[in-house]
Amino acid sequence: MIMIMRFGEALVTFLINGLMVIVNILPPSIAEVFQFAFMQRALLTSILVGILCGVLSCFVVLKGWSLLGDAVSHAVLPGVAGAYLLGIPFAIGAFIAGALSALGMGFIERNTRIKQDASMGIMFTTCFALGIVMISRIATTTHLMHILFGNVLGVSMSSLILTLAVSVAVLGLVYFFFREILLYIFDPIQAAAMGIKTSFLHYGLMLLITLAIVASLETVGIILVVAMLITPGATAYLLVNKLSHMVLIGTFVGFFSAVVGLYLSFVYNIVSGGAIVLVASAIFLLAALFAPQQGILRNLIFNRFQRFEK
Amino acid sequence: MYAIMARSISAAYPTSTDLVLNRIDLELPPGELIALVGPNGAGKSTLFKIIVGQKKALRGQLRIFGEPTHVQQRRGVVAYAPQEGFIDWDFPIEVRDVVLTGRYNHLRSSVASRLFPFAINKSQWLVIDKALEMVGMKSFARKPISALSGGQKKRVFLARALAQEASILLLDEPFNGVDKESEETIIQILLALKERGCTIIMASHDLNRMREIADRAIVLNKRIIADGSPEKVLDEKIISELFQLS
Ligand SMILES: Nc1ncnc2c1ncn2[C@@H]1O[C@H](COP(=O)(O)OP(=O)(O)OP(=O)(O)O)[C@@H](O)[C@H]1O
Ligand SMILES: [Mg+2]
Repeated sequence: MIMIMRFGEALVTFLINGLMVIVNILPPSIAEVFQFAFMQRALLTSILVGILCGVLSCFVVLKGWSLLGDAVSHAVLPGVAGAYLLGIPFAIGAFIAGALSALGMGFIERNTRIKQDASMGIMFTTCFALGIVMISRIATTTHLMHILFGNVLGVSMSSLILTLAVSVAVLGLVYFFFREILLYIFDPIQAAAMGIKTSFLHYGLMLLITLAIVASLETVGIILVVAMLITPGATAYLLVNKLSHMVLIGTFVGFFSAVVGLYLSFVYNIVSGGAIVLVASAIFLLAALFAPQQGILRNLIFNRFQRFEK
Repeated sequence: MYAIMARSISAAYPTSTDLVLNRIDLELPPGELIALVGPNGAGKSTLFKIIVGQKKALRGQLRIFGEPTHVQQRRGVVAYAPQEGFIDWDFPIEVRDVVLTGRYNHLRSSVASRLFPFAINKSQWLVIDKALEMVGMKSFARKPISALSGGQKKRVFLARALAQEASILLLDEPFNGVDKESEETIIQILLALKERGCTIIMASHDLNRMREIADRAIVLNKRIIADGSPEKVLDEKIISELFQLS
């Protein structure tokens, strides 16, 4: 265990040093912000979370799982509170609660006639209420605020290592199983015909999303993490016609909004989670307006021309 | 040995307790073209899902070339072309990548393909191009599927089934929205495949067409209502009576 932490720390230091080489190329006014150790940790965490959510958001958007992401992220709260009570790392509590709710909802989705939105709505508000009640008994409001809205400037080395480990694992799995994931989302019957274990993929994807949510808790917080699990993918969806390109663009949008959001939050002293999500939303808005094929602006102009022709 | 053998297969969806398929028995030898007909909601697509292995039967036994489905699945023995409603047509995927999904069973055998999932061997693209050419869609290879017409989409999925080089083809309403000329081409391709020993099951509402090309017809409406030579079974009058009886 200690060995793993050592290795993780060394890797994190290595990555941060690498990042700083790039940061120091930037104009001094920007680079200077990132000279503090806590800012460097925040930068690396945000980048990892941005990339992680950016990749998974493409699958969330295509599979129509936006509501599921929202539900799981809210359901995580009682897990955090429970972990706090038991004195175990809160990421573990969060993961267990998130995974249970994800699997529960996945089961409901596949096996019952209950309308999905209703069952999820009941489930996640219940979990969330339970979490808030638990936390209000045991912790201060600052704690609650940090869990709800993130506190990326206070990220510790151990949670950074955890985020790194989750990112490597999730990105690796997505890479190796990209073809299978594509086919499962696109055409589950053909996936089955090819001998792909579809229920394995179904629940596997949900667990990956849960992991991403847990890893994002400190950066953007429970309430806003779902934005990072939708917006980058939705933006990419407007721009390209190939899943691999969509994932690349989603990754970039996640990365870019995380970095720019973090910078803005420091410079203007605003909540980092909010800043990151707003940057992502701004990119989405730009894409929605100016996308080459599906953009609102293009459609407006196109319709005008057609009217002239008549 | 039968290509497909079903013993008393029953199926239901979780949304309702009613059986969608009720005690289906099938014995289909290789090398036949079988028409599967029945009204909307008869369970044709459901039967396909079960043969493919995507849906579990409630009861009963299914053997594909004498083996349970999960064994045959890994070899991609069954190819399947979906009915329109089963696919999200806005999915970001190009035509040739759709056809590539029919080649997964040929790709997966090597470790290298796992390590480099985006490096597709040239020989694979050749097979894919050939399949697209057969259905007259080669010039669309790099188009997104969202940009195709209904009939063109059908042809792409047929190309995928061809590229899979499977011994059993399940085609769910393959001629819906396909123009007469393409339909003719497709039928020629299917007949050639049949000559080579391929088993083809086609769900269709076009009774006249099925009477012309099928070797055997199965009328389904939750149960098997009739099974025999197309000339006898696919008589409009008999069929409408059968449906009223059931
Ligand atoms: N995913 C599903 N969930 C619940 N019920 C379903 C589902 N798919 C099909 N059914 C029901 O199962 C029955 C059989 O459907 P199926 O799609 O197999 O019919 P079909 O013979 O293919 O009809 P069509 O000619 O319209 O394609 C129908 O009553 C339908 O309502
Ligand atoms: Mg059908």
